[in-house]
Amino acid sequence: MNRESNNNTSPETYEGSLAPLDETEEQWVSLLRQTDAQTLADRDDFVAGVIGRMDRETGRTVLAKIGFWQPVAVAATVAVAASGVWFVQKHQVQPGQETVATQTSPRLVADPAPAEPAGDTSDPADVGRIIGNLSRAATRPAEAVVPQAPSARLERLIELFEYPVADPTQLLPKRSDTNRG
Amino acid sequence: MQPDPDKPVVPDVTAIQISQLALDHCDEATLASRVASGDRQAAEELVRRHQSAVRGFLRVVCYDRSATDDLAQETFLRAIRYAGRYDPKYSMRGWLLTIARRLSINHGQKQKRRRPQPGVELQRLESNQPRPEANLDAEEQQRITKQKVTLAMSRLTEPQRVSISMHYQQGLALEEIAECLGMPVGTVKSHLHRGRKRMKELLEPKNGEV
Repeated sequence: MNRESNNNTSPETYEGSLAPLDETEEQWVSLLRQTDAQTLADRDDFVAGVIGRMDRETGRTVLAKIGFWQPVAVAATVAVAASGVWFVQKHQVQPGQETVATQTSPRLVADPAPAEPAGDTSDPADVGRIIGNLSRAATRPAEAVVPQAPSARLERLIELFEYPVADPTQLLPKRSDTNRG
Repeated sequence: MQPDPDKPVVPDVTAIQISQLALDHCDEATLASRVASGDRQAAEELVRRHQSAVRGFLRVVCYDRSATDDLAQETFLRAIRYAGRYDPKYSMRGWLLTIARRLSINHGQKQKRRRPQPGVELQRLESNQPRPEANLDAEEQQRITKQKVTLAMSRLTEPQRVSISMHYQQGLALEEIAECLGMPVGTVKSHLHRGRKRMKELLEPKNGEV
C-alpha cells in the first residue's frame, strides 16, 4: 500500500516496488551515467592531486603528533645541560689551583707585624693583646671592612675591644657622650 | 642446474608490476586494509578505481559545481585517513559516496549565504539555452539535453537527488542506499518515486517545444 504525503519534508515509506524506467527516464538516466570528457582527461591529474595532498597532510600530521614545541623544548634542555657542563668544567678547581673561594681575604688576616707567639692564650692579658691587634688590623684604612667614618656604635665596640680587660668580671664604664650619630 | 644457453631468457616480471597486478585484482577489503597500513600504491589504486564515480556523483549532488573536484579530493583523503574503519559488509563505492554526500552537505551549509537563489541561477542557465527552433546538430542537442537534466536535478530535494544519483547513476542497491543515508528502504523508495515524478514534470516539453 502506497502512502504518499503532501508534505515533502516528512519521511514516508513507499512499500510498493518501483516501476521500471520508461523511455524518457532511460534517456536522462543515461545522460547522468555518461562520463564527460573533462573527467576522463584529468583522471591522472586528479589521482596525483589526491596523493600529493595526502603526502602534505601526512607530513603535517607527523609534526602535529610530535608537537612543534617538543623538539624546541628538548633542544633548549640539551643546550642548558651542555652549558652547565661546560661551565662546571671551566671553573673546576685543579689540585693546587687557588680560586676566589679559597683565597684568604686580606681583611680577615691578622696584622702580621706584631707576630704573636703561638701558644697558650688562656692568659687574659694575652687575650687582650690579641683582641687589640685584631682591632688595629680592623681599623686599617686600606684593609678596613668598616667605613672610613665609623659610626658611634662601631666606635663603642672598638673601645670595648681596646679596653684593658684585666678583670673580665669588671663592668665597663658608661660613656657620657653617646653620639649615636 | 645450469641454465640452457639456447633458450631465450625471459625477463622476470618486476616487483612493481607484480604489486600492481595484485592491486588490480585485490578485493575491496584487502585494498582498504593495505591503504590503512600506509600502502601508497594501494591508496592510488583506491582513487583510480572510484574517482569517476565520486566525481560524477558530486557533479549531480553538489549545488556548487565549481567545488566538486575539491570535495572529491577531500572525500578520498578522508577515506585514506580512515581506511581502517571501512566495513567490508558494504561496498567501497557506497562508503565513498556517503563520505562525499556528507562533505557536500557541509559545504552547502557553509556556502548557504553566498549561494545564489535557485531562481536566479536557473534563469542564468536557461538564458543560455538556444531557442527550440534553432537548427542544432546532434552533439549540441545532447549537450543541451544534458544541461536540462542538470537543471532539473538541481530542483529536486537533496534526498531525492542523492537517491536518484546513487541508485540510477552509481547502481547501488536500495538496501545499501538505505544504510548510507541512514533511513529505511521504504523511505529511499519514496524519494526515488517522487524524484522521478518531479523529473518527468520538469523535462516534459512545454508549449510545443521539442
